[in-house]
Amino acid sequence: MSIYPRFRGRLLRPTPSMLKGASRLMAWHGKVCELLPLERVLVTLNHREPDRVPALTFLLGGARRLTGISYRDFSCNAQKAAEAYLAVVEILGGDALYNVIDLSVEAADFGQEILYPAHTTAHPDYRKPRIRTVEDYETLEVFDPRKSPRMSTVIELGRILAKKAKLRYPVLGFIFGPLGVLAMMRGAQNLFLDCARHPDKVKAGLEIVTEVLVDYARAQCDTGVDGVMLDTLFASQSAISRRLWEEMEGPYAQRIAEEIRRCGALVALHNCGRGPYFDLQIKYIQPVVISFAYLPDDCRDNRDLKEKYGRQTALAGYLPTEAMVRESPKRVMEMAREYIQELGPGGGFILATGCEYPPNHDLANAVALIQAARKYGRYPLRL
Amino acid sequence: MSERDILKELAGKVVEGDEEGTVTLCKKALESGWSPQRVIREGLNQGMREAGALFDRSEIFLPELLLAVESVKAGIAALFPTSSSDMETSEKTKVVLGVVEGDVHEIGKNLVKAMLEAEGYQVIDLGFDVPPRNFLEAVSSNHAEVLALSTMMTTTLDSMRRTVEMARSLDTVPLIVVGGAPLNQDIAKDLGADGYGENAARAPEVLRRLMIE
Repeated sequence: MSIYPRFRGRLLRPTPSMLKGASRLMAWHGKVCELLPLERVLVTLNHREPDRVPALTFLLGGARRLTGISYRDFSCNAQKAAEAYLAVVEILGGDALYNVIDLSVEAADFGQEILYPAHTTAHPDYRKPRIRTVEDYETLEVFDPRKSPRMSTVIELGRILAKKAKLRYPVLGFIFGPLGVLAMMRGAQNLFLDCARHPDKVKAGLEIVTEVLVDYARAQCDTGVDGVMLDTLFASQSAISRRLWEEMEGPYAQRIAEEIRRCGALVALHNCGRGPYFDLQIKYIQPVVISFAYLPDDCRDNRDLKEKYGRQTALAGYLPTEAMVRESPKRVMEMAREYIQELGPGGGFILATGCEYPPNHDLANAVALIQAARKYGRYPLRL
Repeated sequence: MSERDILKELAGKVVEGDEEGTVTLCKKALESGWSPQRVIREGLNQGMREAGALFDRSEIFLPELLLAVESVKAGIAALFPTSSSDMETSEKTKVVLGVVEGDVHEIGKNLVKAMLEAEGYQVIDLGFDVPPRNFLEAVSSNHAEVLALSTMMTTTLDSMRRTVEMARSLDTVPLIVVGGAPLNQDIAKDLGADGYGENAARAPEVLRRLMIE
């Protein structure tokens, strides 16, 4: 049961212009009292200054430690994963809930064998790839993600979180991009070679995967999540060229994004590659927020980033994973302060880790991140 | 066409990732009576070095670099049609390379292998998800001078640390270099490594520097 009422089977959500108007009122409200996380994020996404900079730890697999569940339960049991994620915001804080489990969810339901290690993220068994040869792209089959084992778990997780959030926290769904899903079934190295040698074969696979992901987006939106985050990892200098991304993923990711918008939900984007192609991803996906780990390929520094992209999309980032692993909480707070000062003015900025918080690492730096937003992120910022 | 022109063209074919062109030129070089070793050194490996430099400057990306690696492999197969390239291995610096236990991401490792081989190292590739004891056995049995470890995940940093610590207890301790997404120079130092490679293209430079030191 969604928090939004239904009309002829569709959820009745506020329109973007209604949200924009509401954010104006909330921004004013935030000047005099503390906002709810949902209000804070909404104001931020509309490029206004809320009461303070919102914060996100991206504690995913690490969330299991807060409720003492196994990694396998976190990966496969929606109720237990939901309890873990709710514990994150209750114990550590943070301004959003998200139903990210891991990047192997979609591939698993296409038939890829998955390993569930005790102390690390579930991942494909690359010794047994679902796509063994270029001919296998065409053998993938369309299915209903509501009835497949792992995607239905994620859908259910979104449903529980949306219900529990009760308009207090925004809830984000999650979908790994189509090229990423193929990489999970073929191995990234083989996929890259196939893109160069047999692009038409890869595109045949992309068509099938995208059809399922579009339906998956619809199913997630139908649970009442406020938005869905697409992960287009390969749109960066870590992976493939701008030209190849435009050919091999841009149009497919666009179809998923359009479906999310058609359902009335917000489109968010995550890309933790080095030198992400912000301009291309905005062109195809038009996200309201981009979560990122490195500066875009066409930006020199944070000021340049804010100037180039700060009005086109909200920015969520980008405390480095390495800092979360190695630096002291005090140093993390100092780094966070610098990001807030450079990216926070005018709103449109969420303080976050660039990628998943190290799942087995001390949680002190997650606390530091949240504290930094509370201490240094209060608007008007002291620059 | 002069020898120099052919070798230059061969290097260019590697950079372009043109396997067919690479094989054709390798055969042509053999027919001209050149030693396969020279063709590898001045043609194939030179091309790999150039591709690595372009990758380092973000002028080409993983697919193009992987195609260059495949071209080198195809070229070597053409130069040694009946057996693997058993050339001068006793004189080469030996590197034991692998992805640490618990991690299955091996593109970076494979590219490091190609870059090091292009610079004349003998690489003993243990693959991915390699337990620490397998690294140690490989270092000892091959008398390797270098142990190169890779990981892409924070959850396997402990595995990398354990491997480094165990390698330090060997009678002859190799130079230990590490690389991968969750690492930086400081974390590499914390782990007890001698060196850190920011990306595959820089691996030869890191080893060269460490071996001089």
